[in-house]
Amino acid sequence: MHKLTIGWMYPDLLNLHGERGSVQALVRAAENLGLEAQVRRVEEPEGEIPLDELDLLLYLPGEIRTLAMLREALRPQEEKLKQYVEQGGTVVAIGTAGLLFGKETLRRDGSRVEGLGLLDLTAAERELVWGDDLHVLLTDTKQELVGCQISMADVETPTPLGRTLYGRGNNGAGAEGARYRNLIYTNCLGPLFVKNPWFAEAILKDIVLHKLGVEQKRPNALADKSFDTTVRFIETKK
Amino acid sequence: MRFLLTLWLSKLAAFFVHLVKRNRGTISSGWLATRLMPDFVAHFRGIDCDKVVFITGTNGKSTTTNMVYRTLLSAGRTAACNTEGANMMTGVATVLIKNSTWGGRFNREFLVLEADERSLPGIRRVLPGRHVAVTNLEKDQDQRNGDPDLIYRKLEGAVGPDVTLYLNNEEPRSSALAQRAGQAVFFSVAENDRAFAWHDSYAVTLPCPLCGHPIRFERHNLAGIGPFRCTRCGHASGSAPQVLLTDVDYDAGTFRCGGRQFSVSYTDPFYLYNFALVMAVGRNLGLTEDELAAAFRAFENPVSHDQVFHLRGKEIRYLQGKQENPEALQSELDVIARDPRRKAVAVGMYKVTDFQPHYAGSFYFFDCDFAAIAQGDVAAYVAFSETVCYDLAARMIYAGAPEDKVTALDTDDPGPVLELLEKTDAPVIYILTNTKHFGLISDYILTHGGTRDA
Repeated sequence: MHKLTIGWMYPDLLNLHGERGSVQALVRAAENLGLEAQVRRVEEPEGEIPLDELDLLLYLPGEIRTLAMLREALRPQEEKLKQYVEQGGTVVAIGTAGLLFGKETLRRDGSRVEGLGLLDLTAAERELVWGDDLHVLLTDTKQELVGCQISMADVETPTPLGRTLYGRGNNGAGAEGARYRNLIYTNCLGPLFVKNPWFAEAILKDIVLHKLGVEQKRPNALADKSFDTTVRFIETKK
Repeated sequence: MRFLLTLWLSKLAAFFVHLVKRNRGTISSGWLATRLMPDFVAHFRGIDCDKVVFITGTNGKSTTTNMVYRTLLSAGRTAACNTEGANMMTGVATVLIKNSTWGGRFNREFLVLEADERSLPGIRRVLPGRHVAVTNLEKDQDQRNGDPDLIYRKLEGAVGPDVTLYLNNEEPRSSALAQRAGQAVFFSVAENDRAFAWHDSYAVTLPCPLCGHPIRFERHNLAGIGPFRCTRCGHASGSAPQVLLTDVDYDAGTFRCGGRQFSVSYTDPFYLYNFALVMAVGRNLGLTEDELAAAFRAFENPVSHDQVFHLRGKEIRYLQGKQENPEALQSELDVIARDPRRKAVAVGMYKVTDFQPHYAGSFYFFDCDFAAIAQGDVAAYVAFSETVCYDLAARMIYAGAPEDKVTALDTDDPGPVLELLEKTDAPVIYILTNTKHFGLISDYILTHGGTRDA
């Protein structure tokens, strides 16, 4: 069986909104593709990220204050991370974790949190949190994502991941998430990959096709039903 | 004069609302008063700020507020309290309207107030009570709070050098507030039979509220609460908390504190921290150990949640947990996991309808640990409620529940849920729902031949 290593980035720091479930869902999605997935927890912010050994870096939502600390901690390996992304390495950032990869986040107190600048994205912390369902059409694959979002910041980007069919997305204007090469940012929670295992499989397929050329898929009935009922509920709100 | 007119109008409004509907309009007088005069609360006379206690935090506010209040009454003091849980400015105004003379003089010795974490800064601006107890600061109502750091920052602005803070020694986030207060009193529970270590590979902790680096726990007395240390800055649980509960005997319902044994009617880990908090506050308010012991022995929680029913030979244990609040839900899941008997387990969490827009998020269930239940003797799992049942079922399966034992019922109707659970060979049925829908299941059982234990 082919092996895949998922880097779960800073699990004790980035773990809001139940998104640790996405780690489990990635493992299951890998199994559906006939792969053996290994999760490697990358714990220490100042520790060197073993980029050569990781097939995917998964950043889950965290507190904006934590992102500021992480940005500073990552400064010594900023170039390596950039190189990883430029060479097609896969990074998925969910919720506020996406701000870490943007250029800058303006906080309510007027301070600015610098990002890694790998995404052409700026953000402004919201005065009030916005939580709602989210239904998204992905630009590249035309896949649909469904879930919800807890928005702490409004985001501006010229390179969205998709457009909203329902929900606020980046800032209420129709754009959702951001993408640069295989660096993917989405606001969609659920956990993301539990509710949208097809998205997890698509990401993993990109990795394994690039690496191994494997493809297999089993249906996920529970997630299909979850998708249908959530979309039906969203339709009642339009 | 404006204050007195507002007070009189509000008292009259309270009187008439009470006449018309005795169970309604609990905060209508306070609502009216604060609409007419936003700083209404600031104008009462006779309030000794050294005898005003605010109790805030994510979990345990209502219970500990009731406990402090009842302890004071039991000790022969006079006190007023917002026991109905109206914990924002309008609720505070309502309490003062009820417990004041027509001249605006507060007519009790102590004022004990449950305070919503977000409202406390505003309340303290007009009522600068000097005792602030924080039960804990944890994930809760993400749609409103976003992340716990937002609440931490709000509370930072609510306390200052004039405040005595009562803090959970083993809760990393709230205990960091100590540096903001004039005095900090820490309450703590020693290692006991129900302490646990979390070795699950998906277990997570939290970032240090002071430096952002990972917190590590030595063990957990409750989920997210236990002796801890920041891996970077030295923020850690203290080794000499002022109030420390030791020698906990869950079966006997006893613990020791300060060399004395206390008997209590509730002894799960959640209640132990509540008793520790009440001990800390009570001592500082001048209560004696005898007075505290007597109050603890007699304490009955008016907001106690769990109920036991019997229906056609099955024992049904009905639990309620605060939806969107992983730690509170975890306490209920732990109750199920600790029962070694063969059982059927049903979980009903619902669309989130506390605020607009309503939404179908149930991700908080993934912040809970369901694996301990899945490792037990479970005949069947049922996930129910419209729309979110499939996500709840997925959570169970990801935790290790066999797929063929998990049923998702896309309905809020308790009928099909009970029918399915009754068919299993399990003598015990656990049903966990959120607080808002708690009555639905009990009504169904009682109208279908079931009985409820006293």
